[in-house]
Amino acid sequence: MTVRTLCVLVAAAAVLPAARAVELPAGDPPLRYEIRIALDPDARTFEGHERIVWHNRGDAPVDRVPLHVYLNAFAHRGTTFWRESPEAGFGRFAERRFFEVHDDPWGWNELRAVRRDRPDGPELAFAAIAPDDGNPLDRTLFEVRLDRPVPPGGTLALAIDFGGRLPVPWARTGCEHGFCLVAQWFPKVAVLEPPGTRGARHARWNAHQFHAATEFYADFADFDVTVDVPDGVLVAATGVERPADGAPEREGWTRRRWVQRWVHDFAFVAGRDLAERTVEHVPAGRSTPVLLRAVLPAALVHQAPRSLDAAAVSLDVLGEAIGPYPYDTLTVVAPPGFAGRTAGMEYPTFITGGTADPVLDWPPRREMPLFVEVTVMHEVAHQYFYGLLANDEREEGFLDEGFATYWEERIFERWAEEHPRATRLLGRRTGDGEMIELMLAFSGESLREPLLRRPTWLYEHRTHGAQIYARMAALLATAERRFGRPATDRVFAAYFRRHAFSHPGTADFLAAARAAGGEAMAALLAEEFAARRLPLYRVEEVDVRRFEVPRGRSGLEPEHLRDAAAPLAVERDGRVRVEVTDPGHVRGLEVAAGATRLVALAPVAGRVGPVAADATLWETQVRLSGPGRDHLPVTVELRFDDGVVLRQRWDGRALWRRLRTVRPARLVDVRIDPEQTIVLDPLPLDDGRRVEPDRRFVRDWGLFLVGAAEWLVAAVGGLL
Amino acid sequence: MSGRPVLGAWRPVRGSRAVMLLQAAALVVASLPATGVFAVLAGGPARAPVLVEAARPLSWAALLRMLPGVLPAWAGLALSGVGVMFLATLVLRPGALAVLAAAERGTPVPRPARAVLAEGVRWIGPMLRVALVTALLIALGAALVGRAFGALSLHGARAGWSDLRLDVVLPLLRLAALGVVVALAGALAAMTRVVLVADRRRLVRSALPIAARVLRGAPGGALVFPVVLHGVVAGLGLVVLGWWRQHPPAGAGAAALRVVLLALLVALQAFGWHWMLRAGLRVYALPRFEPLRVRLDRPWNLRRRALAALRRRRAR
Repeated sequence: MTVRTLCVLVAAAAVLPAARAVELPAGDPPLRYEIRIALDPDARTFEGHERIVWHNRGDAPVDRVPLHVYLNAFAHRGTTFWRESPEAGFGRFAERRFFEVHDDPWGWNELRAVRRDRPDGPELAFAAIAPDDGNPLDRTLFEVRLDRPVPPGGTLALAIDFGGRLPVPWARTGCEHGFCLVAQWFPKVAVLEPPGTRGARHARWNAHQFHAATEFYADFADFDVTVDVPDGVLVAATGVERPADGAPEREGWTRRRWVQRWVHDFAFVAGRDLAERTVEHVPAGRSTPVLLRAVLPAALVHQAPRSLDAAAVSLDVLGEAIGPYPYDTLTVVAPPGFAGRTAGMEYPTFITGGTADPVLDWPPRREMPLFVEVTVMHEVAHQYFYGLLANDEREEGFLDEGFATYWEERIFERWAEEHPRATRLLGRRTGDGEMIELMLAFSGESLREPLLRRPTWLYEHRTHGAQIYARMAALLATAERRFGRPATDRVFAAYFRRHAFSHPGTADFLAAARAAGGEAMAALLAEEFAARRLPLYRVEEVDVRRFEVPRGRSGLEPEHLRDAAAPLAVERDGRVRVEVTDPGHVRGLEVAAGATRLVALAPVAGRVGPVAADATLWETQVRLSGPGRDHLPVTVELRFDDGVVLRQRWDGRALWRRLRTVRPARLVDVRIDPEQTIVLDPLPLDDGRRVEPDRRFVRDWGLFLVGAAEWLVAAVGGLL
Repeated sequence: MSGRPVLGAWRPVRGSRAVMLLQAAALVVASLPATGVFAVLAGGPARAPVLVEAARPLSWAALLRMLPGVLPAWAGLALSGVGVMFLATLVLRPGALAVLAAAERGTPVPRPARAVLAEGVRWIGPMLRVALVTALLIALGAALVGRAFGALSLHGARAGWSDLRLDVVLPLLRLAALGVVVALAGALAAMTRVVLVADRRRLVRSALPIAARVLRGAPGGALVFPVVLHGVVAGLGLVVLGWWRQHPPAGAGAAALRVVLLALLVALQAFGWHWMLRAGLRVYALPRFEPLRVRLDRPWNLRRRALAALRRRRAR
C-alpha cells in the first residue's frame, strides 16, 4: 500500500461515519408469512389467504400451534377486550359516545380453513381457546391441532383462508369513511420461546388472549404481502414495495406488494383521499439513507413536514445513542381526525403519529409539538423498544412503553434546540419530560404494585398507564440523573447490541445495566422494578427555636451549663456538629439497629468559626421521612441564615431520620435531594421546606388570587 | 330626558357617589374571604424551595404541581365571596335603583347611602324571586343549548367532521350560545328589577312581561348595552389579571402597584354597575313605554281567597 493510498484511506475514514452494524441478521427468522388480501375500504370487508412457514426452535415436538386472531376482539361486547376496557382506562363516557355515533362498529376475522403445507393440503382442526380468563365468548386466540407433531428443528407450513370485516376504529385498527388503518388483521402464530428466552428453561408457548390494557407479542418473520384494493385507493405498508405478481381477481382493482425481512408485524393503510410525501434521510450511524414516507389526507398534505422532521430527528438521536436503525424505510401515517383512534401506534417500519386535521393549521396549535411531533417521536422510539427489542408487551409492557416514553423526552430535548418557541405555551415553559413527571404526580400515590408484577393487563384499576409509561420513564430518568447520561446510554447500547431481533426480558435489561452501567445502577433498577410504591421522600417537620439552657437540677455549675447543654455548638475547627438519629431498618430477619450519633460536617458554602460565649444559639430539629430503599441514597441539605450550607448523605434505608444541631444561626430551609435526581418521587414539592414562607411569593400569588376572586365576585356575584 | 338615555347615563346624579361607594364596599367585603389564601400559600407552596426558586414565570408543570394544593381552598373562599356578593346585591341593587330613580324624577333623597340600604331591605323578597326565575331561565336555556349542540355534535361525528369543527368550533359556538342565554336572562332580570322598583311593584310575574316588552322595544339600550358593558368591564379585568400573571412582580413597590391595580378594578366595576342601573332606569322612562308603566298589578290574592272559601264552608 502506498503512502498516498494510506492518506486517502485515512481521510476517508475521517469523513465517513464510524462503521457500525446496520444489516439485518444473516440467517432466517423463525417465521415466514406470504399473505394475499383483498380489501374493500368502503365496505370494510377483506378476504385473505396466507401461507405460514414456521420453524420449531424449541426443544420438544409441537403438536398444537396457537394462532392470534386479534381482530375478533371487536366482534361484540362480550369479548375479553371489551369487558376489560373500563379498567384499562378507555373511559365509560368515551365508550358510550362511540356506540352513540356508530350503529354497527363491529369487526371480526373468521378462520375459514387451516390446511397443512398447501392450500389443498389436509385440513387441520382448530378451535378458540381462552387460557387467560376462560371467556367462551372471546375468540382472539385459536389453537390448531396438527395431524402430526413438528419435531425440534422441524418446519411446519400452514395455508390459511380467512376473511371478515374491519371494525370502526376503537383501538388502533379499523375503517371509517373510506380510510382504513389495517393492523392485527392476519392470523399470527404465537411466540414459542426457546430455552433461555426470558428465563424459559424449556421451550414454551407464550400465547395470550387480546386484553384491553396490553398490546402484542409475535416472532420475527419475513413478510411478503400482496394487497388488492379498488382503483384510486392509496396504500402504504410496512417494508419496501416490490412489483406484484399477477393481477387482482376483480376488475377495477389494483394489486400492490410489499416485502420486509426480520420484523414481527405487518400493518398498512388504505384510503381514497390520501396523499404521500417522501424524503430520504441518512440517520446517525448509517451511511445509506432511510426512505421516510408520510401518508395523510390529501387536503392536509402540507402538514407532512412536521411528521417527517420529527421522524428524522428521532432516528438521529436513537441512532447516535443506541444504534443505527437497520431498516430502509419508515412510514408515518397521520390519520384524519375521525380516525383518531388509530393514531399514536407503532408497527415495524410503520407508525401512526398524530392526526392530520385543519385544527393543526390553527395558530395556537401550529406551534405546539404535543399533537404531532411528540407522538411521532414516541412511536419512532418504539421501533427500537418493541420493534427491534421485541419484549412481550402483555407480560412486561413497561419494557417498551416506558423506554419509548423516556426516549421521546430525549428526542424532544434535541428537537427543542431547533424549535425553542415550541417549548413555550402562553409564555410558560412546557417541557415534555415535565409532563411525564406530572402524570406520575397525579397518580403516584395510587400506585401500589411493583412494575414487575405480571401480567401487565392485571395492574390495579386504572394504574396501567401510569405504571408502564410514566413510572418506567421516570425510573430511567432517575438512573440518568444519578449515574450520568453517558452511562445510561452505554446501557441502552449494550442492551441493543445484545438483544436486537430477539425477545429480551427484564433480566436481560438488568444484565446489560450491570455490564455497561455498573452494579450500583443495576441495583437501583432492580430495586425499583420490585418496589411496590414509588419512593417518597418528605420533610415531615422543621423546628427552630432559641436554645435555652434546660431547667431543673443538672448538677452542673451555671458557667458550664451552657457548654454542656450545647455540645453541638462547637465550630472552632471549621465544622458544624450535627446529631443524627437513624432508627435503623429491618430486611427479612436481618436487623440493622438504630443509633444517635454526632457527625462533624464541613460546610459546602459559608464559613464557621468559634462561637462567642454570649452568642444567641438556635436549636434546629428536622425530621425527614423516606421510602426505606437500599439503593436510593440522597443528599440532605441544611441552609442557615449566616450563609452556611451543610450537606449530609442519607443512605435512605431507614424510614425516617432526624437531624439536630445548635448553632449561632437560624435554619432557613432543609432540602432532600437538592440536585433533584429522584425523578421517581412523585411529590418533589415536599422534598424541601423553608422555615419561613417566602414573603414575596405569598404577596405575589396571594394578591393575584385575591384579584381573581374579586373578578369572580364581580362577574358572577351580581349576575342573578 | 335628553336624546341619549344610555350613553349619557354614566354622569353622576345625586346619590350616584353613595351608590358607587356602597357597591365598591360590597365588592371589597365579598372579596375579603379570599384573603385566606395568603395563609394557604404561606403554609404550603411558599415554603417549597423548588417553587420559590423556580424561574419566573413558573412553568406549566410547576403551576400544575402547585395549584392542587391551593385551588380547592381558593375556590371555596371565592365562592363564599360570590355568595356574600349575591346577598349584598339583593339589598344594594333595588336600593340603588330607588335612589337613582328618585334623582331621575327630580326628587333626590337627602341621605342617599342610608336610603339605599333602607329601600333595599324592602325589596329583598321580590329580588329573591327575580333571582330564582333568572336561574330557572338560565338552566332551561342551557339545557336547550346542550340538547341542540349535542345533536349537532352527534351528526358531525357520524359525518366525519374534522377535529377543528368538532373540538374547537362547535364548543366555541356552544359557549357563545350559552353566553347569549345568560345575557338574555341577565338583561331580562335587570330590566325586571328596574320595572319593580321604578313602578314600586311587588309582583315579579307582572314585571317580567313588561320587562320583556321593554327589551323588545329598546334592544340596544336594554339588552345590548348592559351585556357589552358587563363584558367590557369583565374583559378588562381578565386582561389585567392575565398581564399580571405573565409578568410577575419585581422590585420595590410591586405589591403596592398590584393593590392600586386591584383598587382601580373595583372602582371600574362599581362605576360600570352604576352606569348600567341608570341606563336601565332611563330606558324604562322613555315615553313609548308609558302604557306599560301604567299597567296595574293583578295579585292572585291567594290568601284572601282561601280564607273566604273557608268562611263560606263554615257558614254552610
